[in-house]
Amino acid sequence: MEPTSTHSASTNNDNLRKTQSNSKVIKDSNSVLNRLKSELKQLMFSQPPGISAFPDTDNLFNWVGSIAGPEGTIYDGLTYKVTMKFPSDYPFSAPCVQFQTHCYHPNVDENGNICLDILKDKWSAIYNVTSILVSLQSLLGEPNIDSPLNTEAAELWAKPEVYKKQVMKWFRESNNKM
Amino acid sequence: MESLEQQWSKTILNLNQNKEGLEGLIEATKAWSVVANWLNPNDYDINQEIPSDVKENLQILIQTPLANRLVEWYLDVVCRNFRECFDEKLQQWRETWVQLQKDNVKSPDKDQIFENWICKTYIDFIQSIYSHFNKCQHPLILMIASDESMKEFLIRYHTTLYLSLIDKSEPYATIPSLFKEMTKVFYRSYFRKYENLIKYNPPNSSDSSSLLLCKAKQPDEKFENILFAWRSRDDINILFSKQEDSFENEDNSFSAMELDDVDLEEFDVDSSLGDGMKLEDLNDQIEDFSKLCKQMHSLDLIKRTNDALEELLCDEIELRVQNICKGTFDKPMLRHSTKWLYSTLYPWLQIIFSSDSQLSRESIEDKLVTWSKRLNYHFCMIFCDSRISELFDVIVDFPDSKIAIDDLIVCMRRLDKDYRYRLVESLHKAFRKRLLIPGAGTMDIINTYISTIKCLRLLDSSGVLLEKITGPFKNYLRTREDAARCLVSSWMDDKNNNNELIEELGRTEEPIDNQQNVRFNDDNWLPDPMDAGPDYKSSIFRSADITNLLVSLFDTTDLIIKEIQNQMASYLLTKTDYDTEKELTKLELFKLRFGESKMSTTEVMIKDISDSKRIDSFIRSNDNPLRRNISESSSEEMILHGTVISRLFWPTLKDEDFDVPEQIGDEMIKYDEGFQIFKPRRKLQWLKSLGKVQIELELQDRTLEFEVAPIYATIIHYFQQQGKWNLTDLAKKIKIDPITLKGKMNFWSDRGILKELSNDEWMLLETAEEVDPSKRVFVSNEENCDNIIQSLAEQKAEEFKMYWVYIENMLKNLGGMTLEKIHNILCSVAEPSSSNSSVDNNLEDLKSFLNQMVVEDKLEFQGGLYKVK
Repeated sequence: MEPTSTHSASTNNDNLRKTQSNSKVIKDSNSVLNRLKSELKQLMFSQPPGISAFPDTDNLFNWVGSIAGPEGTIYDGLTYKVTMKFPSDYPFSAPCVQFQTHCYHPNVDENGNICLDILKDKWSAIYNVTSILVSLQSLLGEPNIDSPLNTEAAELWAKPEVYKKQVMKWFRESNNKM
Repeated sequence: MESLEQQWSKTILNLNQNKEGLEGLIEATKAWSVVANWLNPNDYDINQEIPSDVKENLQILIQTPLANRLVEWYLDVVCRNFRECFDEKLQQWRETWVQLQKDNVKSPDKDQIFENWICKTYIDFIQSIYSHFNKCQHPLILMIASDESMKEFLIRYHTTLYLSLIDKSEPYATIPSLFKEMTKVFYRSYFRKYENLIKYNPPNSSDSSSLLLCKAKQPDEKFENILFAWRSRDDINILFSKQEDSFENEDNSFSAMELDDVDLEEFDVDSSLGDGMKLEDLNDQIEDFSKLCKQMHSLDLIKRTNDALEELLCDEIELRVQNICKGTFDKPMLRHSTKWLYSTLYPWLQIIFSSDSQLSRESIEDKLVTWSKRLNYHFCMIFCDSRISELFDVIVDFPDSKIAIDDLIVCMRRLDKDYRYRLVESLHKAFRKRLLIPGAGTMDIINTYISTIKCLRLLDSSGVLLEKITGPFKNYLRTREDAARCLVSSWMDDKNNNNELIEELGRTEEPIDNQQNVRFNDDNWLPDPMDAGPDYKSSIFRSADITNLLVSLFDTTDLIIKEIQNQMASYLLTKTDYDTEKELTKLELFKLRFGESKMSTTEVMIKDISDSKRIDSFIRSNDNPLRRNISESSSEEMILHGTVISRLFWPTLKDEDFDVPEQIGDEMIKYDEGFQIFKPRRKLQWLKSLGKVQIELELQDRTLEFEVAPIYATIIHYFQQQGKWNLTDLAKKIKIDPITLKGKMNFWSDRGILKELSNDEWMLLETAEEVDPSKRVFVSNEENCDNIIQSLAEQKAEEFKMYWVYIENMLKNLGGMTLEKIHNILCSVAEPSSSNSSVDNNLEDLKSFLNQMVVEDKLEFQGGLYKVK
């Protein structure tokens, strides 16, 4: 075989590979959209109690949602707004979830950032919007006091009356701001 | 006069130099006075011989240079004399006219009075002026005046005459061209007379006009030639020439044709023959008219009243189109009117022109050609206008009105393109006013559209007009929910034998979806016409395929295909003999139209039915092991036939669950078991409310047969055991809602079999009751075959219910939003439930759904924003 022809063949191959990878990216972003759409559909029709979310405007990568505090907990009767931002390689990396309403909680900081293992190192592609929201809902009632973002809240957790006051104060304040 | 004096002095000077001249001068002066005296127009008499002394003196004068002076002087005298003679008369004439108008404002036949008066005085007037003219002209001839002075005489006389006729002085200046008006009336009167003469006494073949008729009844092409291509004198030579020999053969057919048209002529407005006039009188009058025209020619009045003449002829043409052509679509009115033009109008014009002795035959013909060209064009315009204004009626009458369309085609070809737009505009207006209104049935609209397609196709093969007309239909039919249903149901309807749509459906040219493909290798490709609109798709509007055009009224074929499925489903479900031949034929036609893939669902549906036949016969046959056992034990025949359908491929069927009588329930179980053997691991789900039951009711005094829906059979079944039932008890037994049941009970009470006693107590009527005929309710079969398929509207509502979750969540999380935004987000976010999601392209539907939700108090609508409650 002549070397020239080999060379040309190899460049062809390179080109081919490039186009393939290009098409893969497009396909991927499509598949992310499809995944998000089907997650939305799942959420819409499963309607877990106290949880709802919807894409913000027509951009499927940004969602807004609301979580109602679980019954029988301190957060009972309060509804918290959250935003979810999905990365372009979702579901291989976790979405960025933040509280919009100020949430006085050991695992939530002043800016609404959340310390939840499944949103960080324990993220897996099997989680979805519904499971995230359900986990967050249960996190409200069962905080992880061992690794607090808000140490004050973690300390006060043992005193429900004081704690509740703080929760209500912050909740009202941020609702007024809104 | 000064110049004359100067001339005199010059002459005298000349004469002074010459003694002979002086004598001549005296002689000439003498002669002048004698001649001038004789020339006084008031005393002049043409018939009298010229006195000898005058003659001598005239001879002397003619030889002197004074001859020219004499003519000049004479012209002045004539003009002055004219005014003396006629000014007063004209004044009187006008005053009488004004008075006459005042007196007869309210008189019912004032037109007739005017006409009579005008004709009489007009003729008198022309004649007296003419005799005056002759009287004045005569001496000039005797004077052997030169050509120039003759000409000058004519000009001066005519001008004086015309100026005094169209007097601009007060108070007549306020009356717009009184003289013109009178001339028109005068012409009209004689035109009518001539028309009558022609009508009741058609000229025989030796007359010039009949040649035109022979010509006019040639095939269309030639007839068009007469109307439009008549441009050269050669043509008119043929038309007006007196060589009739070659046409004699056609005489018989010609008279037959004339008879044929008599009924049309009866519409004519004029009926002067009825007033006791005789044909001879008419003939005489026309001859008089011809003479009068001659006089008018000498007075130059014809030329000066050309405008009145043209106006009159245009009016007459308009009148004719209005009175005779309008509203008649099934006769070749264009040809008929052309015949009238050439047999009546132009010959009459010929009478006027040919009476001019000054003109040669050729120039008369030239004149006629010019006039006829102009009038033909005018006629075309008027005719076209009239047809365009009534085009809607023509379309409604189509195909009976095809002749009218043909006429219009001929006319349009002659006229500007501008008329195409006028046509479109007028048709638009008519449609908006008369068809696209709530009062019109959808089927009527569709049928009219079909006629419109056919008519406009004839008028314009490129389809541009059609495209322009299609818009309003499209927009309007979009608001009609039943449009697709109507269209499809007429496709499905086999009972109507002359169903155009079915015929058209069979005439497939190419599948609808292929229309967008531009075929680059098409040798017959033509660019789109210049005036085509943006929506113009040449292939669809050029091809004569009505079905494709109808389908293109809808934005997508999906709606139609869904409707086909629905209607096919109801057709198939009513079948008891499993015979799907007809449906298969339809399916093949639909496949050709819409493509195989789109019709696959329908195909499965039809196949289900033929499969059911096999399944049913297997279950009933002895091959069925279960059946074998039964037939051994008892000779009982299975009374149940089943239709097995694949749920996924059928439209949602309405099912009301209820309990069938035990016996039937057992049959169902047996059937199910049989099916299990035939197709293991499949389960039958009975749609109990569908189907048909044949029942025979044996009552005491009568036996009745019915074919009813299962629910009715069930009801009557229970009355078999017990003659009286309480509604609630029966409802419990059948397991349906008592209110629904009550409605169903009415089915039997309408037929005189059950009777409501009171308090929901129902009784079987073993013996028929006398029913007061006035109270007899009209029993419709409608109830018997309730619409079993969910209508498209219901399906749509169902679909929106699914979206409701999305909308609710959206509004909850994102706050109030406008309709457009909701729609946008829904489109991009929601996963369509089926391939043909209605949300995607239907803002209107979404709006009505949201408004429905507002009504149901689930949403609130404030300031353009929808919010969750």
